[in-house]
Amino acid sequence: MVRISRVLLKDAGIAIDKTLSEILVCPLSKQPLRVCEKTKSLVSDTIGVSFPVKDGIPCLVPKDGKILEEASKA
Amino acid sequence: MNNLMIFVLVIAMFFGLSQSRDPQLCNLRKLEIQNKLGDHGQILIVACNDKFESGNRPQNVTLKFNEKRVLTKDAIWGKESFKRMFRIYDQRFGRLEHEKTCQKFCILIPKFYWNQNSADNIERNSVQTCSGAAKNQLQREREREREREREMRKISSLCGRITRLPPEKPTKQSHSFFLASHSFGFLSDGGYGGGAEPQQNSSRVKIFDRDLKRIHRDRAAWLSRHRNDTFVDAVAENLLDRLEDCKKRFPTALCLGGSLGAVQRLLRGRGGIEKLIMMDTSYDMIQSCRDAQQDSLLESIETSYLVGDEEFLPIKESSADLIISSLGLHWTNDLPGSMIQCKLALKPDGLFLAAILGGETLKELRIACTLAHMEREGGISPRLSPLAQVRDAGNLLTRAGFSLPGVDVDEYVVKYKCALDLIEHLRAMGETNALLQRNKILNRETALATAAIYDSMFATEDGTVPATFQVIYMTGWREHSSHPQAKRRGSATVSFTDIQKQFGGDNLES
Repeated sequence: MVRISRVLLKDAGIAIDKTLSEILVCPLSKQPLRVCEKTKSLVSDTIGVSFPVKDGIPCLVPKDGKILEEASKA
Repeated sequence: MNNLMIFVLVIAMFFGLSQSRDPQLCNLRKLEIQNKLGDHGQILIVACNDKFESGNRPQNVTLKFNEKRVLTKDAIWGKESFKRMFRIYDQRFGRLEHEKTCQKFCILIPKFYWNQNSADNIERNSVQTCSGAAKNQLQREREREREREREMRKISSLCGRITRLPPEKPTKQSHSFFLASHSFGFLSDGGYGGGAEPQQNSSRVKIFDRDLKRIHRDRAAWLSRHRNDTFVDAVAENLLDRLEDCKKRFPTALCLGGSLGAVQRLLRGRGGIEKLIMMDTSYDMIQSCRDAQQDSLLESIETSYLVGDEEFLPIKESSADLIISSLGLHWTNDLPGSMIQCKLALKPDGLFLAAILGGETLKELRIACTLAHMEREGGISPRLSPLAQVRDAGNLLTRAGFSLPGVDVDEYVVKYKCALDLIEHLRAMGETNALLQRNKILNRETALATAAIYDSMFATEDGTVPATFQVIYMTGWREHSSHPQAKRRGSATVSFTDIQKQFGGDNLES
């Protein structure tokens, strides 16, 4: 059952399970992250950095993060 | 004598520059600038085929040295040399508005600067084209260059004085002074390495190359697939065995890098874990763990996967009951820092379990490497990373603020068929050298010598070579009111002398 749901979620694009979304924070500022469905990423608004989610696995290594432009933030 | 040389040089520079500004030459698409001081090669002239405009970078640069074209593509030049060249170019064109459409670009670089750079191969190429007699000449030239280098240093100080002269002189002269002072300015930069330094100007000390470690772990994910490593399994088993000693249950557990797969495989429902979060710096490692779990069809524990760095733990404060790190934390640059982050991520009364490699690890390899390097290369470079000592581990736990700290050490001796098997094993574990200041080249000769020394010095009777792994196990709890605590000083109600009297203090007094 869990496997099926995982496969389904994988097809749906972004799939971060509940456990993770509850405990994940930004690795640099330790502030909560916002899920961005459009770009499939986790956004840290405090420092303006987005972290990618690859195949349902969030990549929160600071080096993987992309600095968001001011325009796209607004 | 020196002063005379300086004047000759300066005049020659003027000459070179004034010639390049000749209107006839300006019209030429391809510039052929004669190097007036080319005999000793102390000055290089750069000519450019492209039309120069402000903001336009030269694409095809020709360098002339001893009237031979040494290179045409920018690929041979190091990036830093180009950056410096363009910086001068920008400054020059910033000053000279009327020259913006000039078709040429002339820069004077002392030959010795050029030599300090990565241009050794170019020089070698030019040697190949020369005959034997020319080779001797080249050697003599090099000696002369060295002499000139010393002279140039003196000149640079003089040039500094000249540039401070009042600016009523003709523009031509001031330009060449400007250029000259800048080209000599390279000296103070300390040659080629100068440009790379600011990158490391971080406030924190960096010992390990974390990015390289990530790549190592990517490779390890592939090398250790479908293979169970007995050493890693033994460490993970020993670490997880501690969970059985606790009455407490740990619903949420976080497993940090290192031997993830072994921990996941050997957990077998210990510690009452309901939710397991696997974290590693390598995406491939995490994915192989996920595949392994899906294959085994063991879905009793809800597992989530996450790519993250132990140095920047992306876990909310007080959210995990248990943090396990098996053979991963010894690669962190800031071990106390990451342990403090772990402590903060734990819930009160949460358990921190870690296994790291200790200082005695691979002592045989350390000895063999040092000997082989001394023998073959006449010096040593760090091949094995500095590791924590046992006494440090206790201090680390206390410093990170864990209560009830516990440290114990285990030594494993793994036997290999030969020393090269050991290296293969280290690769499969992702434990190869990732020091930031490592020597990036390992000679085949030296590597084989290391293996030979290792075999001859440490081989046992049965032909196998042993390698020692010292593993330090650390246990710590996040402080909680239920933990036993020492009473406040001076809160005692009974004096020790009274106790002595009570329990036959006569023998104690002696």
